[in-house]
Amino acid sequence: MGECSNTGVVIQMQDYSIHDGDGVRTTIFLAGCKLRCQWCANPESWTPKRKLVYYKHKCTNCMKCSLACPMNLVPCKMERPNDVCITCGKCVDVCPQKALDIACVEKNSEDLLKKIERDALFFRFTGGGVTFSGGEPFLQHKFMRVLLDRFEELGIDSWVETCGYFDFESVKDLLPKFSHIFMDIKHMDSKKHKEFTGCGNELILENAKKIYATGVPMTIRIPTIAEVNLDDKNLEQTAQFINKNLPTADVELLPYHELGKAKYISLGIEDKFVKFTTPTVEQLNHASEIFKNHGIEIVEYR
Amino acid sequence: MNTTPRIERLRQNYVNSKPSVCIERARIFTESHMCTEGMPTPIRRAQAFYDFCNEFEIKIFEDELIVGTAGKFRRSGILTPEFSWKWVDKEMDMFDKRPQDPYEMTDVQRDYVRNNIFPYWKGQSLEEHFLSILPKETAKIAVDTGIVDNDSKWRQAVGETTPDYQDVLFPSGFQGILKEAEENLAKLDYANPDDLEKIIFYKSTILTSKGIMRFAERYADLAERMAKEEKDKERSNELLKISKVCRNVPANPPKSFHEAIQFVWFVQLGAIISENPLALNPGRFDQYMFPYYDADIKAGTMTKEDGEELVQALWLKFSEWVWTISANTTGYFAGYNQFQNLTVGGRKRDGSDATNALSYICLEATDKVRTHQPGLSVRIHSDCPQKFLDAVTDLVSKGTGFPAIHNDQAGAQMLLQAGYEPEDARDWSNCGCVVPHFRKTGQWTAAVNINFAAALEYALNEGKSRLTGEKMGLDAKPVSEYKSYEEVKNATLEQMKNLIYHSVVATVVAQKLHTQLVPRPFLSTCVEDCMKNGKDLSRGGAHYNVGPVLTGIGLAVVANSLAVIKKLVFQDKIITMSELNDALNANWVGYEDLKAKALSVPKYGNDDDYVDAIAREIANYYYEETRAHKDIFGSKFNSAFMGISNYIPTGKVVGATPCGREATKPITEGVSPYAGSDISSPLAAMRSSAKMNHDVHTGGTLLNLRLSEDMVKTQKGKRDLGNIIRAYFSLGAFHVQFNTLSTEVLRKAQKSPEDYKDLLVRVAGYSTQFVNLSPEMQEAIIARTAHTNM
Repeated sequence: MGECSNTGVVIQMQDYSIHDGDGVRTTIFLAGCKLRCQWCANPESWTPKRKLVYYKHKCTNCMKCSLACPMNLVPCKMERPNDVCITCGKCVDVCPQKALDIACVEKNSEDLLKKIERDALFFRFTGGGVTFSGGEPFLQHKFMRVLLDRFEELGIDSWVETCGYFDFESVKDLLPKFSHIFMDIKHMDSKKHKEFTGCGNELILENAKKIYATGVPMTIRIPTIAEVNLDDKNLEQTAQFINKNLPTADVELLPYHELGKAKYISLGIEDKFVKFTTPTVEQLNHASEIFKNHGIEIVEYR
Repeated sequence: MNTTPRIERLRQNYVNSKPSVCIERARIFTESHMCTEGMPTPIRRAQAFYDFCNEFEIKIFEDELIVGTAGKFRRSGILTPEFSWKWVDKEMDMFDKRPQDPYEMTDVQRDYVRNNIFPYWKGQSLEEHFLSILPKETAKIAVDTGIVDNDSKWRQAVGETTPDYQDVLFPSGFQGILKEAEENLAKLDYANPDDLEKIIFYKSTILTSKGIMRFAERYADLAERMAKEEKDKERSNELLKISKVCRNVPANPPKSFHEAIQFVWFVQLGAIISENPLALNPGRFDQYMFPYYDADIKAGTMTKEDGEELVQALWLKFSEWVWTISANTTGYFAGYNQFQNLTVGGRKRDGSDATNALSYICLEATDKVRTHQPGLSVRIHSDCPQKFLDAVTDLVSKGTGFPAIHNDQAGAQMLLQAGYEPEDARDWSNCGCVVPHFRKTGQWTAAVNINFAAALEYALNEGKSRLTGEKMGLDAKPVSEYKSYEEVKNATLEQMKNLIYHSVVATVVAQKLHTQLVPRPFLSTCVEDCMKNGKDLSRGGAHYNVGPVLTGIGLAVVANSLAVIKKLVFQDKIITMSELNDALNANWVGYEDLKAKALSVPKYGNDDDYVDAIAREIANYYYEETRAHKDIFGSKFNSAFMGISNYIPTGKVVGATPCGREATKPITEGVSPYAGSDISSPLAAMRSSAKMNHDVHTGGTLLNLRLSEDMVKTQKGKRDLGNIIRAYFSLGAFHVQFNTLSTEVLRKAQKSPEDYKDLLVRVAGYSTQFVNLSPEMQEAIIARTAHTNM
């Protein structure tokens, strides 16, 4: 039995999720991730640290936020607010336009469960449940441990979506509690992997095998990005890896999108946004074919 | 859209032609009345009906399979001066210029009605009688105010009837009805004082039955003549077939699916000619039509495609005629809407599943022809075939706003509460937008709209309108003197009670006048037991007489506002009642901080019990108070939270409200959340809505939600939505309907309406063409939260 924590840092709870598994699910996005994928659409999830979020399009320049700020900052006019902001939230409270917000708020398991219990009605009718996502949810395994036990008691189905970069030993007791695991494989070449995500892929591939060994059904999710991993060589190697090590796993291709850009802007880190190219339908079909040629099923949770 | 070329041509004509006013019905009715002075009113109305059927210059238009119009144009609206001519006189010069639901009308027509028709009705119309009797206190808040509104019950006919094809019309035909009337008449005796009303009644039904048969016979003759002259062989044969069909129906029971469909349209026409009705419902179409469909398919006399074409042709007929209404009424019922509600699916009378091949054909027809009529409703029961639910969510995904999705069991429960026998309760269909109804019933299903937000305003503003300063409500103490939340709430309920009282007065007065001035002989022959009882539908002749429905508007605004007062003033004590009052008087200008605080208090529609409990308490009170009153037949009034487009005009007369809403902005429809405040998800909005006790509000409840089209693009998305609906209904909720359009699409439609003429959107209890809505209505639609996934 691993360690437990009744609180965790939640980025968002999204109900009526239909793209994160069977049925209608509530996706719990947990903060914190060791990877820094250049295409990441959720930059607020990198660390569990509280962050000031500013939506410029809502702002009317009323300057009430600056009057409220105990640090004498001007929350709506800062270049990189999160370098200096203490996230006391005073500006958020006074903003009449709701143009300011705090991301990565600590929540306790009881409050979260109240929401999940309400959503459970829809899980029962749609064959859905909860999906943990992030960030890398396993970094908050202590919080997940508490939640998963309660979900089990309540008969709520749990899935997880992981980038695979975590310490296996500390989470292995949790794995059998999931009825399905989504795991990313971003690139088979560790050097490239490091170039695009900041980390090599050895731990990830190792964890993939270990997760597979638990017998929980697996779907390998591949963020497909023209400049990164859509070359035949990488796709072939990925398919071979799956074939050899995860023979019953299926694959879902997730085409790159630019929707994360607004988040970079709202966090004041627009300079960190890297633009990639969304693959064409032809490129996606071609990638699918490669996996199918290896006898790997392509699935879509859409 | 793979319709037949004929349907596509009919469809193009419907989409591209502007409705026109035809004055023939008014002319013939008026001339007939000039010849029947001194006779009993039912006879005069029936004779006028007969004269129209006999004299009106009928036409069969190009491509038509189903024939008959109530006016000279394909898209005709008619005038009924016996109900009201004044509004027409006042407004007709602007008919083609008004923003909502314009009609074509020529100066020649205008001169004719002003010189030859309106003078005859001066002092005689229902409107004039009504306004002369209505007590002053009631008139002050109930005539064109947007506070208590029932003008559709004294400027218009009632409508709100579901002809009984199952047990009355198809088995007997009007020949059978005529025979029944003559036989019953023969048994009566003028020496028996009780018989006189019955004698007059039967005589009136004899005239209307003969009238509708004469009407059909003339179409048969015309079709035959046209067939002879027609050069195109195929069309000539069609015309001969039309002639044969009109020779048999509606005089006799239909012998084929085609005849049954034409029968239905003749009955609609009979009702239109009689009274220009709202909510003349085709009812459980898939149930009573299926035997004819099935027999023709089995006999090989009709292909499935022929059957589909006939259904689609009927859909176009339903959509072509126009319910002519005043500008005020268009605020409540926008979009050329006639509210002909057609219900498919559900359970049979014995409780078994009722879905059949026609249920699916109806859903497909709405997808293919994209007409705003009929108002397509489905009943979903717990054991409904998955295939049917899939067909329903597939239609939802097309973004037509149809169908209105109803909980079969909740509908039956509502009817049980209203006093129906269990088998009849299971056999319900929708009336108008979302009223669970049964065909053997006389009821005013949309009697009055009551503005809840006005009640709140009067409680907070010493009984006065915040916009005009005029005293409209009961006395109320200065806002600063309220010492507790309970006091504010009770004062609001007290004002609501007063509005309910005046609604009852306005309804009872109108009901009484209807029995005297505008009896309904034709529709009396379409509803069971009027003939047995020898009593007109307007006088309580139907098998069931159910109390009128009072619709509450603005439930969410009042609940949200009371929550703000409860939390900010009395719980957190961060503002005072006086400060709030100042902010409302200033329409929040200069009080932006206060407004932000008000907006941050929990809002109804997010599954937050803090405010949802207040909404439930108001709804329960409304039910109790409504049920405390009885109509002229001794039936208890019924409560409802339905919507029409009524949340817009009712909002216009209410100043800023504590919930953060600005003055004159729309309030809320049915049990729907305030536009844009259901920020959590549609699931939370459903859970909030289900907290109202839907089953007691037997006049219907309505929840409208907008979904981003992405949520229902795929098979999985559609299947998930179907199961969400099942979950929602398991909570006892009655209705939900979705607009699944992207805001982007709607903006494009605003910019180039020419390209989006057939874009259907859900307005409230119904759908209509988006481009037919006024700009402010369009904005209101767009403002509804589009629930998008991340």
